[in-house]
Amino acid sequence: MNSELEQIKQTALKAFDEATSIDKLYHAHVQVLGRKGVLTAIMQSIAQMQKSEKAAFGQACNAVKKELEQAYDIRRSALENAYIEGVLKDRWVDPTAPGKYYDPGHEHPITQVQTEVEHIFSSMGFSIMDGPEIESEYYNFEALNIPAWHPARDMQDTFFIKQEADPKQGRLVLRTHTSPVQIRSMQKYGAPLRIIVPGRVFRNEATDARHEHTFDQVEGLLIDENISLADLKGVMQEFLTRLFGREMKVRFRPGYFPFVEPGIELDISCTLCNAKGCRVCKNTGWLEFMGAGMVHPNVLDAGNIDRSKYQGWAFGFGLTRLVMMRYGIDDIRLLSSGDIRFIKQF
Amino acid sequence: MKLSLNWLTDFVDIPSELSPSRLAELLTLRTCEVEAVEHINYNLIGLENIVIGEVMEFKKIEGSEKLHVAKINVGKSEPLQVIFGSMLHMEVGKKVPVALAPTTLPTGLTIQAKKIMGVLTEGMLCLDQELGLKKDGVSIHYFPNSEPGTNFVDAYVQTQAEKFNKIVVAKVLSVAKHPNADRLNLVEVSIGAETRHIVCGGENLVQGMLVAVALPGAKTLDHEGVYYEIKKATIRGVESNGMICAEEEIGLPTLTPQKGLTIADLGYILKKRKLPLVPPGTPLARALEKSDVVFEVDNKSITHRPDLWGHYGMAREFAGFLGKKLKDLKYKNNIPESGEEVHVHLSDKEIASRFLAIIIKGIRVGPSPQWLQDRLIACGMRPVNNIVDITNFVMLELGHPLHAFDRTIVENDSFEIRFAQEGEMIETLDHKKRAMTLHDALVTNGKRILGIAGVMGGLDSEITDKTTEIILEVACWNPVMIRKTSQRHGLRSEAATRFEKSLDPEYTGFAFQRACQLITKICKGSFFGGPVTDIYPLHPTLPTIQLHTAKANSMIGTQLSDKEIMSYLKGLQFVVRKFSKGILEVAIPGFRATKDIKIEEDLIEEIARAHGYEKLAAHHVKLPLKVPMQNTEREKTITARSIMSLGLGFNEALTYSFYGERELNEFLLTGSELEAAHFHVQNPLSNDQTHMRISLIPNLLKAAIRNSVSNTEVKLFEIGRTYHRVHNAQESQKNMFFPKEERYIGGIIVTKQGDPFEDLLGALRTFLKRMEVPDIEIKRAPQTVAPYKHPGAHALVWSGKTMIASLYDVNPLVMKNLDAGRDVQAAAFELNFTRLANIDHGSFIYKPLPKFPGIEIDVSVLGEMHTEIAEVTAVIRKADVDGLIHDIHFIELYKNENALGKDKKSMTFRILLQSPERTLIDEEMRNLQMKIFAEVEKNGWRVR
Repeated sequence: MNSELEQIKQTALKAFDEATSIDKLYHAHVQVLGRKGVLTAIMQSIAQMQKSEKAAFGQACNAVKKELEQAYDIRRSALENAYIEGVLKDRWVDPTAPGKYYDPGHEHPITQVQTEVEHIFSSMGFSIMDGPEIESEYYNFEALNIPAWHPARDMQDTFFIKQEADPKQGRLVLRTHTSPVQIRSMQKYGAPLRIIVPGRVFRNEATDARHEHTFDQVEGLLIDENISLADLKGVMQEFLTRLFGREMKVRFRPGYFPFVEPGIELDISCTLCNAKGCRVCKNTGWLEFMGAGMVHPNVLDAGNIDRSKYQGWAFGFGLTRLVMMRYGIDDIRLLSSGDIRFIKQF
Repeated sequence: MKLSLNWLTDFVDIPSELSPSRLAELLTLRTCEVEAVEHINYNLIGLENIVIGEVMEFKKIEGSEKLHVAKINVGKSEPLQVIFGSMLHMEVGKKVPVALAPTTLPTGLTIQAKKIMGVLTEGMLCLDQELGLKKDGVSIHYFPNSEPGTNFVDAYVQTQAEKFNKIVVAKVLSVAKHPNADRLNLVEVSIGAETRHIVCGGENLVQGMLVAVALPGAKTLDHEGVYYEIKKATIRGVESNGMICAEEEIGLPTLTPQKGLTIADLGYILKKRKLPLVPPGTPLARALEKSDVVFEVDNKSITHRPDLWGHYGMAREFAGFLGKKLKDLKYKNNIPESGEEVHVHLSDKEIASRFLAIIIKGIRVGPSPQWLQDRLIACGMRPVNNIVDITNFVMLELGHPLHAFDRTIVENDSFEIRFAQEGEMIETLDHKKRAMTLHDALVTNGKRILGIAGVMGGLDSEITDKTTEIILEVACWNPVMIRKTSQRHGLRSEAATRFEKSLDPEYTGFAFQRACQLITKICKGSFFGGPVTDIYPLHPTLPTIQLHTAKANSMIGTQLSDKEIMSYLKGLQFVVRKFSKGILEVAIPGFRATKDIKIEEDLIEEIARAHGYEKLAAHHVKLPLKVPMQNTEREKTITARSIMSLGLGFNEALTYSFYGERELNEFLLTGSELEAAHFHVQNPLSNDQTHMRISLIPNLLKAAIRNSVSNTEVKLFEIGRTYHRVHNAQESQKNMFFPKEERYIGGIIVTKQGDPFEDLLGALRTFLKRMEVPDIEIKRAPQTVAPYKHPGAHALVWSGKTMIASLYDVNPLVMKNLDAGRDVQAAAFELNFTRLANIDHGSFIYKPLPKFPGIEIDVSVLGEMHTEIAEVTAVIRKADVDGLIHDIHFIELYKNENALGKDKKSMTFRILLQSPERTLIDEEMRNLQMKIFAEVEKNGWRVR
């Protein structure tokens, strides 16, 4: 009996030794120690043995089993190490290959920057407002202190909509700026008010690399007690510094817009040369960024704001221009081309 | 508008330490935008690319009578080959101006390298006439003393200096009476190293004054403009070694304050022209280098400032900011009180607030003096003749336009100013016949129309060489009237541009007086025919505004004292009086009152800009911490955009909000019931801007098809507005005034392979799921009103009872109209995002993960070609009486006529059975399978 046990042991040890892979080793292990293995079968037969033999043979079996399990573990870990060493040694990758192809879509640069602008202003407590793109003359002009004869109407060449005029609203126009939403918001929400209005505007002018009849603007309006131009400087500096990711300077100079008084033009330090002077800023160090000013009393009246208590400022900048500035886009028409070779760059 | 720095310094003392670029910056920061600063040298503008070349050799071109070919040394390693004609006498060694190809001369002549008779020419030898130095004749400048390759402008300036040769700057050392003549002085001058004694009649000579002395041998101008040579002379027994010059003797504009016989005060002139003072002995040409600095102001930045359309108004701004005194406008004209006068009848005082006229006789029309021409040229105006130039000069100086008529054109010395009759015709200066309206004002002589008031003269109204008597007319026209007339007839002119800004009638007077002064001074021999006619029905009253200094500080963000504010306002010529503490009473001068300054806020702007916006510190406003108002549609738009693009692989396009008849035809909308829903643009610039879009798809699809040329598959989307005309529910006949504007998402797949509808359907389902839109159901559309949609391949998307989208194949006819190519297919969806954003998706509660394993079974159903997936899944669910089915996935569609039979298809579903309470047993699975099979067969389908 014991010699049989010894033979099983020797055969198994040999098989373990000769196993060249973990799979083969496992197989050899099952042969002897598995549910139907040779040693397992012998050990199951112990139950039928005579009591006197039982103990000794049982011990002998267990000793063999223990020895085999140990041998198996040693061999197994040797093979595993060999395998890992092999993997470490032989594995080769080509990092210059393109990898698996993924093709997520691209958001339009205008909407990307718009979202960014909305986030920044939103974090300063500004609400985001919308208004109609087909407006009335009343909201687009009269309520903004631009009466019919006013030269400013020239500056904003207007698309008119073929429809009979309304006695109060006048004709329908494609809004020439986002400013009408100032009036609509004041009328709807009153003061205090802190809003921005991004949106599409239209000008009736011929298209070339620098001019488009359709573009996007962002309007801003802050009405509260004792609001000043110095506050505008603060807010814009904050906004621009966040937007461009570096300290930005702003400069005010006089500018004329009928719906503000005082009116200013706001220049920003040149984004290309950082105010050192270059071709883009015509060596001035400054780039024209937006028009702004203190909301004109006539506009506050149109918005039903109590002027004895509230005052505020408004601004409007070209989102399209900002996008072009930021990415160095030299042809505005690309933005409305729907050309995916362009969109996929963003 | 262009501003000459020389001109500005006529009115305000601008410190010479301020550089032109600093002045431009100052004007930009305080008043209006300076777009460019230009340094000019008269006569030489545009000649920067001309060089001096030396003729090395030349010969006749064979076969040509006149043409020669020359080798010219222009200072480069290789000589230039240039062809020239026989107009020039040429010799080897001559040095002449050469234009190097390619270049364009100021005369408009373009020079390019080309072959003439087979011979290459690489430039041009330039005549004075070609360079614009002289008008007539044939002449050329030689530059014997210049090196080949020298810049022409430098060489020319040098020769000009030689022309002023022997005229030098001198300093008066002493002035004494001439022993033998009452009106003459003996003057001792220093011309540097030497001292000279000169006899001179100038009454303004004082010790220490800088003057111009023409030494013997110099040439100066006499009163007739003819050069004569200065010689050493003995005058009344005293030797005179030269001449001390008046301005006109050396061709300069008169700047020295005039009293009696006046000598040019060079110190004063140099200061005025912002030129440095030079030591005695300096050649005059160098001291007075004829140059100017021109600021180009953006007209848009002064539309609201009638006072800034002339140099005087701009000088006032400089005076204010620099704390300098502005020279007053004072004109002395000896106008007779009687004589021939102009009769003026202003039929309606709405037409003009003031009208001045006078007859001036003894006019000789000719070129205006050089200094005046220089000013006009600096400001971008072409000199015409003395009278026209003077009217233009006054306009550029004072910002007020005026007009001179040939007296014979007016015939009867009468002006009848009236509104036109409807349809009344006039032929204007530009030879165009124009029909007037009741709102256009005309200048007539009672019989004949002479011009459109303030906008443009009539055909023969110009001054000609034959004019000897003129009527000078200056009017302050109604600005709104001028603006409308000029717009109505498309007539933009310098005059109209100024009149429409609302001019101050007081300046009408100044312009009149200034023009009278200049005409009588410049046109020698001219005189007034009689008194002034001045129609001035209503002298304007100047407004007074109360200014609260606290309000000003609060709006600007400053803490200025009342005193500071007062001084800012006074600097800009407002009349300020302290009313009480914190309140100022400000009287608005006429030139600011017509339109510009009306309310307190306008004055606050004056304070802000006078103070300087750059001094304003950025302030961080303290406002209550408040979460912004919610804008659900905007917020969802951002999510939607990122799902469509980053999630589903669509690229975002932004297309125009309008299209035209062409798109209507291409998309089969013409004549459809949708055509009437469009709003039309009244004044499109092109015919693709006539209709406001009612759908994003036409423009988007066209963009996608353009892209499909080089791409197998194009997936585009756009989020944008559509504009629908809607009927008013109350008044069925009337449309609502404002359109129904809704935000839509348009999605498109254009592909050359696969089924775009199926692809887009999957994308849309995923999109809606990620947007958490509840109760989605997508159903075959019962009918189609939009003809660009395929009537059979068209589905509607519902969220509960709200229809939110449609999804369809593009009608193949549309694809054909768009030349899409036969292998290209397109599917699109239009999702009403405004509607979607308003659907409450409710709150979401997570489902616990299954505790017990499920069992999957696959079932393949052989159905008809038009059997819908939803029908089959409904049948499968019907079989599940015990509620064991957790999920049914459609996994495969199989069509094969040979294997399955005609009009049949096989649909395979993977069904997941699962219970939250226990592990299901095989028997349950087999039972359900049997039931499903039975139910499928019952429906007339077969299980495969």
